Amino acid sequence: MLTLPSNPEHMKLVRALVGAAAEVVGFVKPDVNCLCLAVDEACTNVIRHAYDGDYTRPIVLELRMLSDRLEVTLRDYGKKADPARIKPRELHDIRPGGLGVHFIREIMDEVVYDVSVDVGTELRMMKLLGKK
Amino acid sequence: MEFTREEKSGLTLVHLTGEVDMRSSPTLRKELREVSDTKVPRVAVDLRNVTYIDSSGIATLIELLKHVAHYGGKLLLVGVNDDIYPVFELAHLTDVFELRRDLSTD
Repeated sequence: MLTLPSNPEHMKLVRALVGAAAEVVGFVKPDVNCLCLAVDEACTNVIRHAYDGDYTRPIVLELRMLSDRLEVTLRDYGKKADPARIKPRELHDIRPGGLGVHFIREIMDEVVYDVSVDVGTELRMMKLLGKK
Repeated sequence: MEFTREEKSGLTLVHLTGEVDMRSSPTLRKELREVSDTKVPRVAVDLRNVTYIDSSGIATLIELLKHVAHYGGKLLLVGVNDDIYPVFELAHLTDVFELRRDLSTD
């Protein structure tokens, strides 16, 4: 488990950790890169939406390396996500923005926004080895 | 992320190196906007040395595409490598951008 400030400067570290964990589980490229992208996008959404661009708030990253999957938990203590409003944009609408959520849902096999925690949101994501 | 600009006849070629992410995209957006503001007929972005691109980087390229198309120019993305091509596929943008292995195939 790692707690880091909500600063984009640290996303390189997040990607390195996720990439290393994915390789331990047995993922290979391009899945390793995609897993890094999904977690990066999730952190970006926390910084932008939960913390409104405040780079000093905590993000807690937890990686669970199991024999057949990688589980990722991302905890923030900002504005709660509204799962009903977190939707990927229509891809035929070619415009900047809204792609991050699409990437997360496309890459991961399971995505759960848990807003039942006292403060903030706990995002749980999982990707199975050998699927997709 | 680093970038250099190369001017040729009717073409501005921007070479990018490194990772395009939430941290570097604002700087890249400014650089590419300066290029497209010149209304050069063709803009090419060389991505062969880009090792990572996220949604903010893709959004920056979409903005560039729209701006260049608005004044009737043409945008080429050159050297989209195996590290970043899957991101264009995930975004369903491989047919939206004109992707080239290199400029000589133009």
